[in-house]
Amino acid sequence: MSASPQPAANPPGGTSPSAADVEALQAQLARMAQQLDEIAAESRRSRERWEAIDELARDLTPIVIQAMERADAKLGDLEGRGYGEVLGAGAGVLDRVMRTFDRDGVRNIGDTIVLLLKTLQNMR
Amino acid sequence: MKNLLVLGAGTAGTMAVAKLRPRLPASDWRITVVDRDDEHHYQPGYLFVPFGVYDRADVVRPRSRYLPEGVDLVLGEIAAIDPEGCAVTLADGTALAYDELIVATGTSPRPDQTPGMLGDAWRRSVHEFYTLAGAEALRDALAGFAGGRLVAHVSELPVKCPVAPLEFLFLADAHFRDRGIRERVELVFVTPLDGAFTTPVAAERLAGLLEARGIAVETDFVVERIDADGRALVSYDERTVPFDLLVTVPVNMGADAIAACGLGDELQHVAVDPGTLQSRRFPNVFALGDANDAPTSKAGSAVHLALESFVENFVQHARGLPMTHAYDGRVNCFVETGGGKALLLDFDYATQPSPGRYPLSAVGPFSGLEETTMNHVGKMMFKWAYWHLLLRGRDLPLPSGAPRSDVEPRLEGAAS
Repeated sequence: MSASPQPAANPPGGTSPSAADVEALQAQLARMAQQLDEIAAESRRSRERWEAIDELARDLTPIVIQAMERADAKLGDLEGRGYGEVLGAGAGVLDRVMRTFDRDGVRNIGDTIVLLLKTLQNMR
Repeated sequence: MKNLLVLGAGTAGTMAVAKLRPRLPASDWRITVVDRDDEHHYQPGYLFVPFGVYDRADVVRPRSRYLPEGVDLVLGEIAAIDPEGCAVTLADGTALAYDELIVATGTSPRPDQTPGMLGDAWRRSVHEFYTLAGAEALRDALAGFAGGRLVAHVSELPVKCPVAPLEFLFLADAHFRDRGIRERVELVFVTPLDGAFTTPVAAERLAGLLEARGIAVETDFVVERIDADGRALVSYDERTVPFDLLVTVPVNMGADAIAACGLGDELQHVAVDPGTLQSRRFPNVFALGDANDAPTSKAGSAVHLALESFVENFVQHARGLPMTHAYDGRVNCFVETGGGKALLLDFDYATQPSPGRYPLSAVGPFSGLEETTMNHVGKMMFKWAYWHLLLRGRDLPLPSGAPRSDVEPRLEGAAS
């Protein structure tokens, strides 16, 4: 049966720590513990923020898809009713006006159209 | 050190401590919350479970995750409340003393209160969706429902979220249309009220929506019992409403401990002053949300809106000052109407729901009493706001005003 090694009363070649050393070590450990707490809290907050963003994206996805499907159906409906051709022809007219008249000319056309509409309104 | 004890870590209890913890100095106030388990349920989400939109992961999360730092959570069943001795006893014998008590124990469906509701037919042909287990069972029942008479029924008022049975019917209508079997399904709404809803303006609007969808309404029906074998609801005036599938809202009652201590009414809801939510009998007891008898709808938004005044009042009360704020009974909710649309109801103790737009009176995007896609978007995004903003005590990024329409009407013949 072998004898267990006995712990040394003092560190080899050194002296026992003073009360001040122990206090300083305790204070240092307390600061480290506090820093760890702060890191853990910040880590938790970061995780919560990421989860919130991730969940927002997940919740929004079906809503955006539904909105796009509705918009697509609406545009298809308008196209089927000839809105596309009318808008295309309208753009052609606008293009010709832009190429034919300068800014003052367009303003004069606008004034004339308003005058014509008012005249028509007064005729009723 | 004073003790604030909060009974219940549901919507009301969690939001209250999230708002109160920063307002009550930790050196003066210890806050303890008691609940029976660590599962927080997003109850508005139950409506969507039968239709497969949400599942358990969407509506259940740990309570402890949503309580702020500096609040202790004690898990245990409440056995007794002693308002005279200012103490609460848990089922395991733990005694918790308090200086101030907030009762936020909610209200729960009690199918045992209606003869014939519980029995062999329960969760076979008689269902409810006010619990997660009930909503999941109803999801399976709906999936197997190929046609017949589906009756949605309210046993007695008040119930939490009184518009939910109507929303269920609107969603069921859309669900059966999507499945191509709507013509084989008869939908019926049975209510003890004389109309579709509690407030006349909303009742008229909702009745119009029911009629447009071919959903029949049976009013003034006070259920006496359920004839499970004959598959029929039977009223006190001996009318019968047959069903193939019943979706009922059982009688809602507060926690049993409230009745035993004399704080509550016959439905075990705490009798409070409707403005301060303070107990009528004990000045150091308050009741929030579904647990109280305030004459407004039992809904999460009622708690959220009540907290604006409650927190200010409680801080004054804690300092020994008179309470100077009053809750006006305001509630708002998006009512899902199916097909990707919803309408918005907003009312209080004195004001009926009104048309108008919110938060911007000219453009909305939300609309009072009007079915719109944007209202539906608001309804669906509320889940996110609930988990990430409201439960953590953060405000919604919206003004607190009601829908309104103050756009000047355009005058005929006015010069441009």
